[in-house]
This record gives sequence, C-alpha cells and structure tokens, in this order.
Amino acid sequence: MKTFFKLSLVAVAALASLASCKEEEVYPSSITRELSMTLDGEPWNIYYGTSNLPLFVYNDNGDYYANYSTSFRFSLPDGNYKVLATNQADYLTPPTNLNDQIIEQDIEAKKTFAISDPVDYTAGTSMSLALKTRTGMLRLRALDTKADKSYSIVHAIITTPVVAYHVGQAGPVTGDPIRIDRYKETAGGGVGYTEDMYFIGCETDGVNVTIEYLDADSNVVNTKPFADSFIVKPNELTEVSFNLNNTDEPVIVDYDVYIGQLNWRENDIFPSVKVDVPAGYTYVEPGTNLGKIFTEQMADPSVDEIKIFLKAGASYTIADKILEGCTKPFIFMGQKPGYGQQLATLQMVNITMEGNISEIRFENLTIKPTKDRIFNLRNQKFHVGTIAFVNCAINNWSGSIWANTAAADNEQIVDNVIMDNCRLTQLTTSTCLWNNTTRRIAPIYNWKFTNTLFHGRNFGTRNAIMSGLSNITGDISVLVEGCTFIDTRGADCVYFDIDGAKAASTAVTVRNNVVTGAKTGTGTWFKFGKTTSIDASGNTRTKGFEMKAWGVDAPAESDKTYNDILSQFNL
Amino acid sequence: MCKKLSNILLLSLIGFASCTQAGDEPVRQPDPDAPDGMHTVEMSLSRAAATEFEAAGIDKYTIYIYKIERKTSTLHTEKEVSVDDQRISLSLPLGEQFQAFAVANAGTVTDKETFETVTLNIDPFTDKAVWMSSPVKFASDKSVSTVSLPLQRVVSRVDFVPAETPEELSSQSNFDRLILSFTNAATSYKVNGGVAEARTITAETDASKGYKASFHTFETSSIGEESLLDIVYSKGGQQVNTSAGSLETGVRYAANNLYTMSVPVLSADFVQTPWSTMSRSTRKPVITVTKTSL
Repeated sequence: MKTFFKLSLVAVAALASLASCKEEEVYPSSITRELSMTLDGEPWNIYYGTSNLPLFVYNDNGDYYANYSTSFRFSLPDGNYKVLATNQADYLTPPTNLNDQIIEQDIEAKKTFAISDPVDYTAGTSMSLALKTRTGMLRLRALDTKADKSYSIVHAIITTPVVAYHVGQAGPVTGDPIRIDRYKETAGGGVGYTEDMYFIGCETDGVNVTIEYLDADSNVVNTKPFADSFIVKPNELTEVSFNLNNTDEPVIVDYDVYIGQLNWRENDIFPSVKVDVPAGYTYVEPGTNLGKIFTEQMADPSVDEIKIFLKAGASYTIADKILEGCTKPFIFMGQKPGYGQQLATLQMVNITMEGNISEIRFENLTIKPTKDRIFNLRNQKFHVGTIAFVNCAINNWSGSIWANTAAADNEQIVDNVIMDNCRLTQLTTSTCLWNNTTRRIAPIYNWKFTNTLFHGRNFGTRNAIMSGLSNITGDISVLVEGCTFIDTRGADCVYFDIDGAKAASTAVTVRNNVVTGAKTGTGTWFKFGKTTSIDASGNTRTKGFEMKAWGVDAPAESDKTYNDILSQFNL
Repeated sequence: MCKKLSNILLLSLIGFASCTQAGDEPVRQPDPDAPDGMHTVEMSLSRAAATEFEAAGIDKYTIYIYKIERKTSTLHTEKEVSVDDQRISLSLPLGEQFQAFAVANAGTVTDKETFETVTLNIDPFTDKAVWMSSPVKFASDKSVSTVSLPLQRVVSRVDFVPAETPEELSSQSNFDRLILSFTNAATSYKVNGGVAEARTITAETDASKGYKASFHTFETSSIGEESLLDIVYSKGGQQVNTSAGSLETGVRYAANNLYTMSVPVLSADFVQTPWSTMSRSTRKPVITVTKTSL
C-alpha cells in the first residue's frame, strides 16, 4: 500500500504544478500524505481501480467539499475540515450538507454498509478513519420438522422504526415505521424456512415481525404476529427461531369408504384330465411360443416330421412367415375336447412348401386364418402326399384355403386333399375355397369332402368349394359324401367345378349329402366338364328348395326345412 | 485484493458475532400439555349407502393405519367401524406419512404390527367374502383433504357342481361322498404386495348337498401356478375311486371372480377306474356238485 502512495507522487506533483499555473486566485494548500482506514477494527482500503470513492470531505460548517479516492494523495486548501469514509459511496448524495446527509433504510432489506464517524481534520496532517458496519442481519428461522401444506408461501412482514442512518450524527434515525415485505415459497410445508434481512442497527428500538401464510393463489390462510420486537444491532446477527406450524390445531381429513364393484365376474370352468400326449408328438403348453417351437423343429435335422399337440380350449398363434418355406411334413393336432371344452384354437396364415412332403395335417382345431389365404403359393416347387383338415372348424372367414401359381408344369403336386368332419360357417368365398390354378399343370389328384358342413354367408358368384381341375393330367377322383351345404344368401355360384378335360380319368362320387339355401332357384351344385363316371345317390334337399342346376340327379326332397337344418347345426 | 480481504473479514465478523438475541428464546414454545406430541388429526369417514354394504354382506369393517418410517411402517391405529357410524375421529400427529386400508369380513388379521407383515386369513367355507381397499398413502400435513377407500372383493369364490343331473346322481350307487381337493388356493394373504400363501383346500360333499361344494380363496396371481383338482370317491367311509389324476382347471384365481367348476363325476374319462368295471358282481360263483352214477 505504501509503495503505491510513493509511486503516485509524480502524478500528484504534476497536478499540483498545473494547479499552480492557474490564473485564478491561489490559496495555500497542503497534501494529505498519510491515510489509514480500518473497517470494524481491521485495516481496510478500497480496492484499486474501483470507481467507488470512499472519502468524503466537508467544510467545518458541514458544507460538502469533495469526494476522493483513497488510492491517491490529495491536497486540500489549508484549513479545518470534517472527513469520513464509507464502503458504499453511492449511498451518499453530495452536495448534501453533512448535517443533513442520511442513508435511508433499504426497503428490500438487502443493502448493508459501513461508514466512519465524521472526524475533524486539518489539511496536510495524517488522516485516520475507522469505518464501522452500521447494518445488522435479522434471520428468521423455522424450527419445524413437520410439514403443514395448507400454505405455499410464507410472507414475512417486518416493520422497523429505524428509517435511516444520520451520517453527520453517526447514528440511527427513527420515525414512522417502515414496512418491509419478504415472500418465500415453501414446498416443504414450512420445514427449512429461513429468511435473512439487513436493517440499520439500533441499540434501543427493535423491529416487529408478522408472518402471513399464503396459499398457492396468494390468499391469506393464517396470520401470526410475533409477540416481541427484536433489536438488530450493527454488525451483528440476530437470529429468531420459531415454529411456523402450530401443531395444536386439529387437521381434518375425510375418509370416503365405498363399495367398488358389487357383482362377481362369472366364469364357467370345466376341469379336464391331464393332457395325454400321443406318442411322437410334442406337447405345447398354453402360453408357450408355438412358432418358436415349430421353427426349431423345422431346422432340427434330427426331426423328420413335426408333430405338435395342442391343449383343448387353449389358444395358439403362429405369426406370419413362420409357415413359409416348409420342407418337412407337419401335423398340428388338438386334444379332443373333453366335457365342457372347446377345440384348441390356432391362428395362422400363408403356408408354403418346398420339396417332397408326405403330409400336412390339421386335426381337432378351430382355425383362425389371420389373412385371406391358408396355403398361399407362388411358384414354389413341391410334392405333397396329403393335405388334410380333420375335425376342424373355421368360422366367419373370407378367403381361400388353397391359392397357387406355378412357374412350370408339374412343379406343384398334391396327391390327396381331405376335408373330413369339418365345420365351415359364415364362410365368404370370392375366389373359391380350393382355387387350383389352371395356368399350369398343377395336379391335385384325389379329393375327399366327407361329413363336412359348408355354411355360406356369401358363396359369391363364381366357384365356391373347388375348381381348377381342367389342366390336370392323370387320374382324378372326387368324393363328396355326408356333407351339408347351406347357402344363406342365395348365391348364384358353382359349388364344385369339375372338368377333367385333360385327365386320364375323372371319377366323381356324390353320396348322402344335404343341400339347402335361403333362396330357391339359384346356384349350381356340380358343374361338370369331362368326366369318366359320376355316382350320385342318397342326396337330399330341404322341402321346396331348388337350385338352378344340380349337375347330378336332383337330390330327393325331404320333409326338413331350411330352418330345421340351421337348427340342427345350432346356426 | 484488499477489498476481498476486508469483505472476508466483514463476513467473518458477522459470523463470529452471531449474538442470537432472540434465537435463544423462540417465539412459541410447544404446548407442554399436549400428550406425547400427538395432536388431533380428525379423519371422518363417509360411508356408502347402507344398502350397498348390506348387499356386499358387510356390517362392519376395520381401518388399519400404519405410520411410514424409514425402514418399515408400524401400526398406528386399528379401528373397527360399524357401517351405521356416521363419523369417526382419529388422532394422528401432524406432518407424518401414513398408509391405510380398510378390510371387512376377514376371519383373522395376524402379524399386524407392521404393514410389511400384516396378513389376512379366512375360513374358506365362510359365507361372507372378504372385502379390502388397496392401501393408500397420505400425509397428515393438510395436503390431503379426502382419502378414498373403495372396498373390493379380494377373494374368489369357487362353486363345484357335478355335470350330471340330480336324478342321475341320486340313482347311482358307486359312491356316497366326494372329497374335493383344490391345490394352489390361498387362505392367507399378505396385504403388502398382495402375496398369497399357497395351500390345498379340501371340501367334502355328499348327496344331501347334491355333491356340490363351495369355498372362498384369496386371489392367487402371486403363486403363479394353476389350481388342480383331485377327487376322491368314497362309499361307506371307504375310498372306492379317484379322479384320473389331478384334473387341470387352467385357473389362477382372480379376485372378484366366481368360478363354477363342472365335472362329470360319473364319466369313465374322469375316474381312475371306470365305473363299469367296478359294477361287476363281486359275489363268488356258485358251484353245484351233482353226484351221478355211470
């Protein structure tokens, strides 16, 4: 610090020499060379370079003379002065007379300052100033450990009679109390609340505090004044600890007890004997990933034929793509339903095959195709021995069991198609249930439809059950026996389109079937092209029902009605 | 640098001279007369229409309130409430965390000292279903004005019914008693987490009951296995047949579900030994010896 004063001598001397060149009247002056300051008893000086000029000089009569930095020596005209220093020079308002200069209480209670008493000073002598912090801190602190969330904001209202600090008199000025408001949000119901404020210190007059509890909308929910006032002394911390929350007050909480759901949810359960898995079959428990098991067995070289056994009444799903590119024979067999049980349900779609496959069989299943094709073949090459649906049900479906295109002749061959004891209800066939291609030679040689119900929501206007024999070479046989045909719409379709135009032989047997429909006079039961033999016997039709064409000898009219047949099948 | 030093000194002075004039004298002292720091938190319970409780078979219920502490929740209040009571006041300390539930028609409640252990127990053959509200957490800090406790059945009911007609059952003489054992049922239920303890419930029935039986069980989703049914047929106190192994029900008992289980008890498919085999005469053949002369 002293070094810095010494270095400033040249500047001060230059200033002094300039001043001495003025043409105005020159008074004798003296330079203040020594200045010491303390703050609350400890050596202090303002930091170099600040624009804050701590030193204030007043004439002996209190008139403002000058405001100096304490970083440089300065000269004063010879004479007596009153001087003081402060660390908050902005709070003074020169050229206010010292006897009138005050620093007002900060209405936000955030500002603090230190200032020395005014001291008498003779120019040129050493100067010593003792700054003192004139503000004190008031701290409100809640002791609560239990939250009260009836309020969200703590509003502290503080009134202080100390309105200002008189710089000239070096003491507080009291007057009409000033009100300071502090708002603090509390998410913890008051727990941990604390608030700090600065007031001009006063040894005799205290501040008063009132707490208002506000809800989230700033409505006052409670008000509590402190009984006592608190003296805030200069340069001291006054901490007021208290309980924000009054635990003596009763808190009301309502309980609403009521009945949720009165009615039972009813279930009919038919316990069954433990699943007896046929030899050679893999039992897939309900809830197991059937597609994953099928894929694993298809890839397993030790498995020649995939045989899957499913639990009656359970539902299984095979995702799309799983059944594409099958290269092994496979059987999906459901457990025969016991008392109260239904067939196992199997969701599947888009079967394709490659290579020689002895059989593809579905038995004791309710099949739910997830799209409009079960066998959806596009130029695959295969020779399947038997495709069979035995004791299966399909309900409310629109689609084709078989649809194929072949790239060349005799690349898609099926020896036997069997539908036995199946139940197809609410069926919609727009392009025929078994829609075999005639663009290539794609033989399906032997057809058996036995004891099967064909119940049509809409059999369409083209072929309904089977078509596509006209390009098959070799021997064809078709057996339709013990089946029931119900047309609910009066569709003008052809049930069976059988034309062995290129076949070596085509033998057709139609026996003991029942035919009925909602409308009479439409549709064709059998449409024949070239055949070798047609054996029709024992077929019946319901009373008054006629088709546009039978193709075989007209079935005998029975006494049963259309509704009788519907009732027979619970339709 | 000097400025900073003086500021530090200033702050040190403030901290050093922390003369807490009023800090030693709090404005408000706790009421020395308040018992153990407990203060009234009234909880008034509104009740559903009396007819709903009556229809549910409830004439009273018990409220359990647990105080949530750091590692556990301890029982604070156990209060039996009649459905006729209009308003109940319960004392709770301010600013604490609680969880509460209501239960009706539980046979016994054991290990109720903590929420983690409290267990409901039932007699499976009681007529009344157990109702319980899911535990609700709340704070007694005035942040909650209403706590809802909807009572739900926490049990299933199983009705066993032979598939045969009463006439068919009364005309048979193969058995006079059925002993029905249902595995993976539950008569104990831990409230915390809804954990049921698996046990086998055995019911006996005879012609006087039409060979029917009923029981209640807690929901068994936590057990994770289906319930199996074993049937023992007895006649004159002696076992004469059994079911063909454990019958699969495919059921994990769900709360508020009524299961009507129907089994053709006379069906050969459902018994270990077909009834037709057993109906053969057990009398020894009569041998007649005739002497004759050649």
